[in-house]
Amino acid sequence: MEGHGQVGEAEAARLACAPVASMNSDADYPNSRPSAETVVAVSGLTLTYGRRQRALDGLTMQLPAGCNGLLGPNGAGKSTLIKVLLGLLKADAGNGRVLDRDICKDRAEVRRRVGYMPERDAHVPGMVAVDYVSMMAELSGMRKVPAVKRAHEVLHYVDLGESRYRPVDGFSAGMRQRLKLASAIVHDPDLLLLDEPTNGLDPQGRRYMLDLIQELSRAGISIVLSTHLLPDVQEVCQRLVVVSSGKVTREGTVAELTRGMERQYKVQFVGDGPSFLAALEERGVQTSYDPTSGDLRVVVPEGSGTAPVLEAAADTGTGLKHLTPGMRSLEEVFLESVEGDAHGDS
Amino acid sequence: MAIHERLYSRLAVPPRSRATLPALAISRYGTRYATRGVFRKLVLFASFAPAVIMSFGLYFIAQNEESVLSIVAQMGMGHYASIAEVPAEKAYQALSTVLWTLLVWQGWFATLLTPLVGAPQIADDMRSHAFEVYLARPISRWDYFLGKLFVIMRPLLLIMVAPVLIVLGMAHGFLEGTFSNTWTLYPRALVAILAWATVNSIVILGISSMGKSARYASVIWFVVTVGTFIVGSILLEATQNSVFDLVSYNHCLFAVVINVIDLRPVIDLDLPILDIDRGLGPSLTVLGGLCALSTWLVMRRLRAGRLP
Repeated sequence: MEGHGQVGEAEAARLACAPVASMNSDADYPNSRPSAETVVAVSGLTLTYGRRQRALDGLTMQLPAGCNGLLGPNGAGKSTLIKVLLGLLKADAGNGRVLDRDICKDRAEVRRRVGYMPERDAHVPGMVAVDYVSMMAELSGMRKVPAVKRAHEVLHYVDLGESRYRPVDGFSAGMRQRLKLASAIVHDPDLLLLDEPTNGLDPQGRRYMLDLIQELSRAGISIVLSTHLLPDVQEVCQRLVVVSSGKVTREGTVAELTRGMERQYKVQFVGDGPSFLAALEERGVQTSYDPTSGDLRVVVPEGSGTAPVLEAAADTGTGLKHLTPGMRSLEEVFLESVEGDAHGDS
Repeated sequence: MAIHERLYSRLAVPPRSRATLPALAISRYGTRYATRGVFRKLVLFASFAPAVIMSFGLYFIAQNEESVLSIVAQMGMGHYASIAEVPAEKAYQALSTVLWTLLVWQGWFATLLTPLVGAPQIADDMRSHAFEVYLARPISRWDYFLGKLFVIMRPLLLIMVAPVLIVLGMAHGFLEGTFSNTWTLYPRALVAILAWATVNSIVILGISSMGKSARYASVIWFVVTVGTFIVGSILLEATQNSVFDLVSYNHCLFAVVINVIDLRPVIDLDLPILDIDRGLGPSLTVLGGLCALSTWLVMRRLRAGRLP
């Protein structure tokens, strides 16, 4: 056995931060763990399918170590980007680095250190789970016996231990997703590219998959989670990039993208609108009023809370029907980015 | 509480930067599944029938030296008092004729088994998107190609090499004194079989990479082999021009085998169509062209940007 060991949270944190030398005593495998802060860096990536369909349009971004979300509607170019990072597709222009390796020149090294979970079902017809995962381990550079041992281990890890001698063709959607994850992590990659990992899963299966992803992230594996499902990203990712029409439209941490909105409130009122708005502005409250819907959005001064709104309402005799925090959700950020891009395109 | 409670373990020693021989890994796992199925097993089993029948024939003939010598005389090879007296050249001719007859049979079994094993190799990978997972590993296109090639070659070699070894072994065992004159048939037969299995495997891989359906790939295979055999035979009969044997894929392979085992038949094997004296050149050119085209088809499919 090649010294496999269980990794708890504290140990995982140590592994994540450990310098290369302490991680790996075998001199044959230099730089085998990521030392770079940035796991993915691409610049000006452009790719056109056929003559017209531009999948990537000068995409530039940097993803730090950790769990990153790649968010975008269907057809935004997320899967294409992942395939370009792996060298499965060749970009027409631009360049990129994955784990500090050039995606064009060091393709084999990138693939050795990256685990890929494709969006679509991808198994060898008729093959049993353990053979499939062992073969993937061997193709990733593991020797035969450790590959088989590791295959059993990761299949147990994703809870397919009982089904490891069953042909993959008979697996349910959830089992197939977990099998894909097992084959992606079997060679213990430094970066995991997960393309829509919760696709087609029931709520329990989705919960299970997200738990696995979180745990892998805690174990020190950087993750790029490509999805169009906002709750998934919000739950497991520290940072996200919104992609639309082959371009990055927003990027930052979840906190950054929703920052500044904690001072925003939604107000619905009954009374004299103009005088209420005037009273609010006197108190330094920024207002945005839509007379058609009657929605009023206000941004109160820093540290004042809702007091200026309540005071203005009291002074003008305005009745407040609703006063709710208007903090922007990730969904709004997403929709804003995508719609903004669509308007820009039109 | 989280549903998942197991802990992930990292590898103490990361994988090597490249698998030593990824093609062997692909072929090892692939072969386990390539010969599954009743029909495939039936073909594998049946392919040993000619060797078994010929071995029994040799056994019964060899029981009586006089009957062997009588057959030799009937073949026009001369009258001899014992098998040991038969000249080396004549013994080689007789045994190479036996070998040729066996190889033709095995060749047809190979024609049947090749699409059963080979047609799904790339077509199924494309259909099931396994292509993507293979190519996301640190292997080259050639590793994938060679791995798939070995998957097909293994059973083909089995159904061709084993019967040949059985029959030649039996012949040398029953007909004493013939080994020293005819031992070169072993390496010659192996070379011929290797060429046959390699060409079959490369061509079926090329056909398999043309689409996602193994069934259509099989149909195309039979057009290439049996179809051209029929067309070639008709053209040969009609024109009596031996150049038309180059139309037929199997005739080209027969020509390679005949030249490699240096067949000079002692009986009429009904081979008017095969121009033995023409040499290997034209047949090898045709087969080489087919192999080059098939390899190009596979590589074109595997090249980045052409993912199905």
